Amino acid sequence: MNFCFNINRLSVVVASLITPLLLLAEQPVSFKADLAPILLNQCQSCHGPKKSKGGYRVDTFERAMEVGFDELHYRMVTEEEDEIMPPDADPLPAEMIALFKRWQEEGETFDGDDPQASLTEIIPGLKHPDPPPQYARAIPVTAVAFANDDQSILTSGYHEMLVWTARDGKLQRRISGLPERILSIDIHSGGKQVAVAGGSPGRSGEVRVIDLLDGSLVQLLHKSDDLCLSAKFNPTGTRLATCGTDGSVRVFDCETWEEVVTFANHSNWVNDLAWSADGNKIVTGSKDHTSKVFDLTTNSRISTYTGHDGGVYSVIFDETGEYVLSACSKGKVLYWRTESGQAVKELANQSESIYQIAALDSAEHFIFSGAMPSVEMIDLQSGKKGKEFTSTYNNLSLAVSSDTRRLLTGDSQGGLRLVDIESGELLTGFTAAP
Amino acid sequence: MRSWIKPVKQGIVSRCTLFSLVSFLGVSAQLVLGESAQHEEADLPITPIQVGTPERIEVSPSEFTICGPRDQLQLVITGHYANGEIADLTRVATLMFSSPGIAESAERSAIQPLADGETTVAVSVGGCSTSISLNVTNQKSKDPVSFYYEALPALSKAGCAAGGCHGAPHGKGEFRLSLWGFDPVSDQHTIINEEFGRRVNLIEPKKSLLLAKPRNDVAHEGGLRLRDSDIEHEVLVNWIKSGCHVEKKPPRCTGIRLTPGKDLALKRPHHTQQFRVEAMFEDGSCKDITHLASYESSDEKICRVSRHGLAVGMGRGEAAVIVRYLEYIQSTIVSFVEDVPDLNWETETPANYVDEHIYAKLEKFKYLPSGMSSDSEFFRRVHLDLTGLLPAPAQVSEFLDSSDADKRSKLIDELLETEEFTLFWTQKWGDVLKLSARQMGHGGVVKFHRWIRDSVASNQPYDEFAKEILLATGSNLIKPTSNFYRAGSDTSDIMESTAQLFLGTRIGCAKCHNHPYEPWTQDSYYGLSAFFNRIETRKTGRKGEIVVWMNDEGDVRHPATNEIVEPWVPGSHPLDLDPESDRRKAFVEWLTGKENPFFAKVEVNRIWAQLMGRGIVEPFDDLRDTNPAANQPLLDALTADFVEHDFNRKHIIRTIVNSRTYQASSKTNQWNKNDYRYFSRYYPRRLTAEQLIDALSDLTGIRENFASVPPGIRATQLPAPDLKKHDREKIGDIEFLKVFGMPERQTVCECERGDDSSLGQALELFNGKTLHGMLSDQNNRFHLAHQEKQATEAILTDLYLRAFSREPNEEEKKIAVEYFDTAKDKGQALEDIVWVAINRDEFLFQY
Repeated sequence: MNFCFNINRLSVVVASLITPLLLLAEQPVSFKADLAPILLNQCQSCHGPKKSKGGYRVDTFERAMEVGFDELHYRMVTEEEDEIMPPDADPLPAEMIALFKRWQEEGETFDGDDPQASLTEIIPGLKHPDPPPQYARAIPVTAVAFANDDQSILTSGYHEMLVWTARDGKLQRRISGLPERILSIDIHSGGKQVAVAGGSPGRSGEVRVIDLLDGSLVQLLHKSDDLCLSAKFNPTGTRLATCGTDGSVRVFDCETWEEVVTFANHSNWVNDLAWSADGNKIVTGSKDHTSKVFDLTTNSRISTYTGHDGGVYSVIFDETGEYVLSACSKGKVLYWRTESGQAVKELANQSESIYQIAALDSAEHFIFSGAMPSVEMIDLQSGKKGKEFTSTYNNLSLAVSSDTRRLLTGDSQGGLRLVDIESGELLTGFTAAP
Repeated sequence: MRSWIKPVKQGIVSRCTLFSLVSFLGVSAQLVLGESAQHEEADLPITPIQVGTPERIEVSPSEFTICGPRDQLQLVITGHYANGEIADLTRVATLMFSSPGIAESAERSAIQPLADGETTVAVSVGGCSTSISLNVTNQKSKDPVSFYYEALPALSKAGCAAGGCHGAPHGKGEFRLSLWGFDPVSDQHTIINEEFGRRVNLIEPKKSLLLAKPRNDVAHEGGLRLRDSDIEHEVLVNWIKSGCHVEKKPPRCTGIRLTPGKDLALKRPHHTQQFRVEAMFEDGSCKDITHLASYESSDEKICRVSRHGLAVGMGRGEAAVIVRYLEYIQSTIVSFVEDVPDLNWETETPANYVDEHIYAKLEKFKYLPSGMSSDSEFFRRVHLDLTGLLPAPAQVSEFLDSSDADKRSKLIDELLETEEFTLFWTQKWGDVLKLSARQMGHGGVVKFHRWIRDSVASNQPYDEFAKEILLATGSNLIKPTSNFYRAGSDTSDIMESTAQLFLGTRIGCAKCHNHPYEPWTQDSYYGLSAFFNRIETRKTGRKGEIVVWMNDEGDVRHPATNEIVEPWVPGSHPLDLDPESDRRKAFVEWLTGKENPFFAKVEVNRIWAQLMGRGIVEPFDDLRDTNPAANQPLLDALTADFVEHDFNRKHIIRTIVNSRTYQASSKTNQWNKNDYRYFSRYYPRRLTAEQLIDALSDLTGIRENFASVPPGIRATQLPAPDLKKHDREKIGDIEFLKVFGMPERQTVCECERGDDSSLGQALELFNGKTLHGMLSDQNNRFHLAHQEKQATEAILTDLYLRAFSREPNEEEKKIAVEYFDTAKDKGQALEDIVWVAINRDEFLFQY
């Protein structure tokens, strides 16, 4: 019997899970599989890293048990109106409380690896449901990438990644077992692995490294309680950097998958990150309106750029790594110095949010897209507008082919467009839904 | 009499754990529990409907068209009985359809469509029956769920778009909706597109964050707000299923209609009423939206309204049932009456129309008024209300000894002509006209104060008073009323202040969105602003002087359209504006016109509140349909009387103070102890800060002297609270006044004056510097009397007459004399006796 808790469907699972649990009384209650999801879903919004009401947190085993089991249990069952938890809703279902009680009677054992690890890390790997055979309707394309020497296109699907033939837009493969939403797709320089960041909004976040050949899972990383937003390999493919709604930036070794360093400098979601060409620096863009540069040789922060007045959605280095381009929700693209965080110039200022920015031909030009039905090109030196590639809907995702001759966009209505940059001609256009 | 300072809660918390703090911090979330508990009607105290034998039944509507597969029709079925009573029989009626398969009866006698066609619905209950004709159309329509008219109202109904939740100016938890769906364009983006569409799940709609959060499937700080059985849930799921479709150009909604729409009276056991709400559209169509509207009650102690539109009486009295759909608000007043056994209705003979209206209302709700106050009580009360000061012992004795039958009304006439009356009532106006050195400088305060004083002394008609203030032009030192404009920071502030003062309207909300509880819209806000936008103020070279003048250009632009807004006043008549003249004139003319529905009303209500401690409408400067008056006929009568007497304020004061209602005892009887709003007795209230310090001065004979005013000026006569710089080192006078709630006069709201009790007050009265100084002063009245070897009883009698306007009784005398005689330090004993008197409710309160 599989006791893996699917926290995406806690309410459903609880009902179906409790009965067998009671029947199979010999099966001991597991903290990581049974209790951790309850604490995570019922308590952590008020008693977690973001809010820790009363100075109490449940986000790790150690912290949750700080008050002792009796107190924890008392808070679930007391009739005192001022003391019952949760304070704003019906008491926890009796079955859930019974699980806690039984766990105590069985000896309060912690069955995770690290009592200081966050609950999301110790809850056993979540198996994702299969994607629907056919989509009832197209969904926004939140991530796109070229693969297989630009012959294939990867797009975000629902609980899956979709692989299309670039030439004619035919669906080649569906790689399932992935989180509900995918916010970022990045191909390893070797072309054999892909890092996918995503999750289920408000519920879970993760980064999966997938083997492109057979779609198998290489590694599950950066598990959190809300979406992971970006995961990118360094140019040589030895490191993977991830970031997300938990505000952290993590760097992993691609051999051992050990976490090399974590930067928790942002106070809000980290929307995007990018590597410098030499692989020594990472730049991040956050909902906290700042952009930061980290040095991986010293594992320290180099600079913070504070010139945006909205959340920063997208960041890239120039080819030298001395300058950064960052774009934000208030429609600005800013060009600033890596070392000092000092602005050089403003390259765009429009009313619509900008979601994506990408460099072209040796970074003389760059393009951006956002909450407008077009992709715009700008000359980096002169700041002058170049070509404009118009579409019908707002583009949420953007990628440039490795030969920088083709442009790929995914829009809010599920549409995908492959455009020749030189001529502006639409090479392929289709709805990216099975 | 209630105890007024609650003892400080001792630290006897046994489980002083981390969690205590947690739950303390979680208090805001506790509010949700109340609503959550009320979610299902089973939690409301509904007694089974007693059908009895109605003479006839009335079914509303008489004919109806259901147009669309998701529409419904809520019937309202009323039984009429031989004794004139009515009962809502909606939920017990039986519905029969002449043509099968067209429609069916669902819960609460709501009709749901099945297929296109016509049918007659026969409604029967209690042996009566009647029928309505129903036309069902458009059932095969594939029209997706309407974003504007179904999804947004569902979010409002679930509470998501409420002002305390995601409808707050900055939202909650990084999710911001417009207040009550006021801005659909913004909401559309927020819900569908923001953060790459994270809030909706187009493949599995039920899993959408938008629904999982309020269902509490995913931890939600706002708690459980939505059950998957709720209609709101169904609407939102279907809307997301449709791909979050947003109509391009929906027909505009023009308003909503509530049935029963007229005010109604329900008598227990028939204390429930089902409502139906319809929305009207510009294309002439009309839909039943009972299931999508949101419901509120103006007073939960009297009435609660279920989410299905069922009003349930909780106690005797009236409450407004408030219905909201999109930006539209409708309300109706429901009175809940019941028989009270053993009540023998007997009242004083009404002295004037005030008593007639008050008694009529009290009789309706069976709150027996208290008897008349004693002469002592009345004498003390009327002095405090009209002069702000306690009467002197000789006056008390003279009044108590007098056998003149008209002595009360004669006293009232005398007091109304005193200098103290003028100054005390000048202070009341000073509060709301923001007379303070900070707002208008020392010179400005002195001039403006003098002007108000002269206005009160001469009993200037109220319309003239308002005109002089609002039309002020010129130097604030020459034309004192221009200080009104000096105290306003900008056009918005001036207009909002004017509206609150003279229209009894808190229009501030409408600056950013349509008012959530009133028909005031953003257009009204900027239309009114346009009258004041051309006012300019400029400093002159002279110290403390500013000049107010009217520019001949300058327009208000609507923030949404950026178009110029023309001056506008409520009511339909267009204004004939002379482009050459001061725009304010047109406004003031409308304002002070005898037919203005707000102007006179807010002033009589203000006077009433100042005398009775609570407005007929409360708060007294917040007149709106959704805040029903405790006694509308009385408010109307006072208003009419005021207008008829050319806005004579003293006439209104005299009328109220001469009423039996004003002169009633503050003691409760067994039939009115639950009344808190219908004036069945005089409601006791704490002396104001200024009254208290003056009372202490008079009692002890030690005068407080205030800086920057001539000697002899009392606290109740001070022109402003900040004539003297606040000195932390010298705790006393002003500090004492602040602790007891003297307003700083930074807003036009009377609510700035604090009437609550606090630990600071308890400490001041226990051994605060001010009080201690007065008591221990060897030259105070009691020490002097003692030094003059006056008899203890004489000293005691003097104390009681001054403090309570009565003589001590035998027991009080005995205790005090014994204490005094056995004490070693006689001076100290005397101080103790006075201290005890001061700390009695009988001293600290007006009753």
